[in-house]
This record gives sequence, C-alpha cells and structure tokens, in this order.
Amino acid sequence: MINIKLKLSESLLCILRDINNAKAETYELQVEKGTTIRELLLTEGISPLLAPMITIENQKKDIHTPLNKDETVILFGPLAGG
Amino acid sequence: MLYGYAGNTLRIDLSAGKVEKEPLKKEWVDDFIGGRGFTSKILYDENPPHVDPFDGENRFIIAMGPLSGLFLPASGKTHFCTKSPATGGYGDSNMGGHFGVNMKYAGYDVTIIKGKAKDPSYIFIDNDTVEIRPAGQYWGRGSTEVEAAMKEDLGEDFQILTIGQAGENMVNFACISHDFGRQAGRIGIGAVLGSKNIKAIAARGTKSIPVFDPKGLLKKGKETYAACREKPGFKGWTPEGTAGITNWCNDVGALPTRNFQTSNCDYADKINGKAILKELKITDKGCFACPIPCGKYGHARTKLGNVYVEGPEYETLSLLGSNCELDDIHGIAYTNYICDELGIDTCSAGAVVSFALECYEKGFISKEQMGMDVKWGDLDSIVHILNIISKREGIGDTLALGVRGAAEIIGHDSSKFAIHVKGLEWTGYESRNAPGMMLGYMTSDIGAHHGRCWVLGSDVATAVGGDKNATVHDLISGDSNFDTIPKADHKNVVPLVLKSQHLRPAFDILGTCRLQYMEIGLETQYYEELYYYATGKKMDFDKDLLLLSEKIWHLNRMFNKREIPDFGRKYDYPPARFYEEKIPNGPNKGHVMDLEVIEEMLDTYYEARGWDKNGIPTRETLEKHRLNVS
Repeated sequence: MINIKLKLSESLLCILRDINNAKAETYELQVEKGTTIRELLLTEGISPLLAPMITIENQKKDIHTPLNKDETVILFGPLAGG
Repeated sequence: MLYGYAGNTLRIDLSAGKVEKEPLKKEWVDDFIGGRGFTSKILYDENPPHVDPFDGENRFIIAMGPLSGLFLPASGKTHFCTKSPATGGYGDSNMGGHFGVNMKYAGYDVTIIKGKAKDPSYIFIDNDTVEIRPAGQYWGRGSTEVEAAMKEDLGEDFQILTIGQAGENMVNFACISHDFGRQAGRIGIGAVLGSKNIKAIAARGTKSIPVFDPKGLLKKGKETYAACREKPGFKGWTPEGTAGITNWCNDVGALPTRNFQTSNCDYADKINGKAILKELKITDKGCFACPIPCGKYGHARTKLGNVYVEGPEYETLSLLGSNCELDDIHGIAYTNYICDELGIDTCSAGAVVSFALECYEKGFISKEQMGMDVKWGDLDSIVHILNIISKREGIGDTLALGVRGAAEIIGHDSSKFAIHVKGLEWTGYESRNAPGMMLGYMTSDIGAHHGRCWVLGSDVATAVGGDKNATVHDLISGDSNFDTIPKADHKNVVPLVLKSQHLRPAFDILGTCRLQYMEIGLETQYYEELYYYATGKKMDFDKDLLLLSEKIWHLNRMFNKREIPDFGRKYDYPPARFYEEKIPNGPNKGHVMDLEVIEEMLDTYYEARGWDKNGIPTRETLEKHRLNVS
C-alpha cells in the first residue's frame, strides 16, 4: 500500500458541496500501488469529469497515471473563463 | 473620517465643461458599501427615467470598493455602469488592471459623467487636476495604439482607458480597453463613452487612502497572501489561465460551436491552453496586487499579420474560435487583437460573427450586403465582419446592433438562432443540458453573462450522478469514446443559482477579484477581517454582504422594469434554438431544454426571490430590503 495525500481546489469542493458530497480540502488515504488517478477518484466518489486538471509536484498528470509511491495529488475543478 | 475610502465623488458634466468634487455620500457607504453596490444605487437614482442610452443624460459611472487599492490580493477591480445600449436596461462591466486603483489614489471612489463633449475629447485626471481635453489626435485610432500614444504623451505612470472605432461609432457591444489587453467588455459600455465624444480617460493618483488600522491591515494582508499560497488551488490556473478550461468544456458538451448549433468540436486540442503555451505565450500578466496572474501575453503570427496580444482567454477561444469554427490558435489570437484595437467585446463579437455567418449560409444576408463571400472558420471572413461592424459599413451597420437588433431587421426567423438574453449575447457555455447554468443566464440582470452566475460544474455533477453511480462515470470518462451524458436534473438548481448570483456581486462590491475566493478558496473570514482593518466596521460576509448582493439584484430588476417597456417574464427566456433544436452530436447529443422545464425553473426562481409570476419584485420583497422604488 502507498499513502496518497489528496488536495482539492475550491472550485471542485464547491461542486461537491452542491451535490451533497462534501469533502475536506486535504486528506490522506491508502491505496494499492499501481492504482490510477482515475480509479482513485472513482473510489472517492469524485467523477473524473469534475477534475479537468490534476497535478503531482506541480506537473500536470493524465487521469490514467498510475500511482507507484507516496504522492500528493492535487485535483482542480473547472473554473469560469474570463 | 471615512476609512477605506478616498472620500470623494467626482462629477463631470461634459456639456457644460464643468467638474465638481463632493464628499462621498454617507448613505451610499452605509447602505451599498462600494463598487457594484454604488453603481446600482446611483444609476437608479440619478439616471432620468426612460433616457436613451446615447442621450447625454445617461450617466457613465466609475466606482471602486473599500478594499480597492489596498495591500491585499487582487484588489484592482474597477466597475463601470450605465444604461446599456445592448439591453436598454441596467448595465455594468468591470475590469482588472490598474486604472481604478489610480482613481482611488487620486481621491475618487466614484466618478459620474454626464453630458456630451462638443468635440472628441479625453478626460485628464492627475490628483486634484481634472480637465476635459481635446482628443482629435487620438480619434479614429485603435484602443491599444492610443493607450501607447497617451502614455508617451502624458507619462508612463498614467493609467489609460480607451475606446476604439467601435466605441466611436456606437456599436452596441463596444468595450473599454486598458492596460494593453484588459477590457470592461460587456453591455456596450464603450459605446456610451463614444456617444459622449470621450475617447479616453487618463488617471494618475499619488495620494494615500486612509485606513482604520494600517498596521493591522498590513499584517492581515500579508497573512492573506500567505493563506493564498498555501491553498491547493493556488498554482492551478496560472499556467494556462482561463484557457485551461477549454477541453473540459468540450468534454462535457458545453463548448459553443457553429453559432451554438452544437456543443463540442473535434479540434479542442488546437485551441486550448496548451496551444497558447506552445504557440503564443511570451509571459504571464497580472492585475494590481494579484497573486495568480491569469493573463497570457503572446505573439500571434497569421497571413494577415503578426501581432502582440493579451489572450485569448476562454471566452474568446470559444466564441471567436469554435463558435465561428476557427480552429487555428494564431487566428483566434489575431481576431482577439482586432477586437481589442477596434474596441469590441470578444464575447459578443464571436456571437455576432457566428450569427452573421449562419445568416449568410442560409441566404438571409447576401454577398453584396456582406461585401465578400464569407465562410465558417475563415480568418479573412471573421476579420472582415469585425471591421464592417466597427465601421458600420454595409450589413455591419445592422450587425452593430447585436444579434437581437440585427435579427429584428434581417427577419427570416433568424431570431431563433440569435443567441442572447435581454439583448446581451450569450457567452461561452452551451447550456441545453445545464439547467442551472441556463437559468443563471436567463435571469441575469444584464443579460446572458457568465460572470453573474456560474454553476456549470454542478450541472455536470448532477448529470453524471453522485458517488454511487460508477457505471455513469465509466460511460463518460472512457478514452474519449463518448456516449451521451445523461440529462441533468433541473429540480434543485434554484438554490445553487441564487447562491452563485449572490456570491459574485460580493467581490464586485468590495472591489476585489473573485478568483481568490472562487478558485483558491480564500475563506470569507479574511474578507471580513480585511474590511474591518480597512474601514473600522464589522461586516458579516453572509448576513451583511450577501444580503446586500440580494438587495442589488432586486434594485437592478426594478431598474429594468422602469426602463424596458413591458419588462417581465418574457425577457427571461433563452433563444428558441435551445428549446427547439436538439444538440446533433457529441456528449450531449439529443438533449434540448424543454420549455416546460424553463417555465418550472422560472416559477421556482421567482418564488424563491420574492418576485411575482411576471418576475417583478413584490412590494413585500422591496420593503424587506428597504428599497423605496417602484
């Protein structure tokens, strides 16, 4: 098992609150090595469609990226354009 | 002492050539706090009823908030307000940059301009020196060109607002430009300035703003910046700016394409944030005191020329890009530049150009009227249409009215695909399967503008189900082999729409950018404390500020009732395309917004607002908010 710290942006938190699926801004969980980010999201009840941007160590990551070591994954929700 | 405010109102009568300064009214501060609160109150009280938007008596108001210009994140918002030539109702638009901050440093929280200058002029403001000066040398020239020229003439430290040819020619969606790429874009605010013969406003301020507790404010300001940096969202949108949302909108079937005929395209990867970084970007660009600079300054290279431009932002990418079927990032950036120079709002421009292209395709506009054979996705065609609109040549004179006015003249049922609400063109979120977003657009006080309400994410979340429906997740998150997204539930959207409609004005009232709250998640407690240190007054974000937001919503509705003949429910409907035509392809294929759902949402919304069945605030609602209007 590996330790994942999940951080959620306010735009994502706001949407999750709107659908009665409120989450903490930051929390930790354990997953099996090799779990993809997408699988992690589904486990957490977060539709992959609601996280258009995902970063690890300030690098954008594809949703199918496997998690192989302890990481901090940041999920960004959609945001209105200017 | 009035802490947090410069303490003065500047009144300029262009017809009389008169400038007056007066103390900022205490009742404005007490009851409306600042920014959008001020503009709403002043326009209702001071604009003579039923005045034409281009009449000299129509006020042009500039207002800042109590947090504007102070040492705290993104406190550089400036609010502009007037009776809109696009809608005939209440209109406001805001922008970042550095102009409002200088107005406040010059000593003015509010500026109210009326009358018309006899000749092309600009307003010169250098602290206490306020003059109406000739602008013949600038008239007829592009917005950013004039901004550069005026900085050369007056000094680099002047902050300049300009209009382009579109504003001079009173195009209904002309904007105000500033800071080489920032715009107060919507509702035709630039056309009203043009109608007053004002090409530009130059401001320099060097005074201090009195604050209640300078040390406390400085300490809290530092803490606020530090809190922003610690938030998960802090680094999110800076790299690509708002363009980073393009693919998401395409994936969820919300990207306006081909004049909103459909809601996704197969070239989103060519017109997204990554394309900007790869092809255009030179540097990030931020507004006053902003910790997350979302602006992108870049270099576009096209067959029509090479230009430096700020943007394109998401709205421009969607409306001048996919909505006109232009799939070239350099071409979109070039149209962005042309709009900036001509002084046209890129949102409305994209909606009007795509409307014109569809009219032409259907034979409702002839080649002779158009002046050339125009095509979807063709840069020459789009630039040509933008030019004839700004110069009001040929069919451009009709298109300059915006899609509502143009459809009335063109006829042939073109009103069914004139995509607007109340006369203001729809922005970059196709909403046939987004009931909350659609209701937000429908009920917006200024017309179809995303800045008034944005709940698209919640609509999508509702459509794809909650955490228990993994099969739906699988359906729509597969490797881009979309089946359709389920129909979004409209039953519970009203509270979400109201929440969004009340949250957004709160930041406009204070004079800050909302992104620090909306994206970074800066807690409201910071705004309460910053407000206290600045003004010496206690303010509860929920009980005081959001209540004021609600009050403003009622007041603006009453302004529209007073000014727009037979105003009411019939002005809150979306264009027929959205309830008559099913989306033909993509993730939302087959969806259409049922008229019954629209009626039900309006009924529920009006009841929740305390409005009658026709969408007019009841006497009880007005009394509850101490609004003595009728």
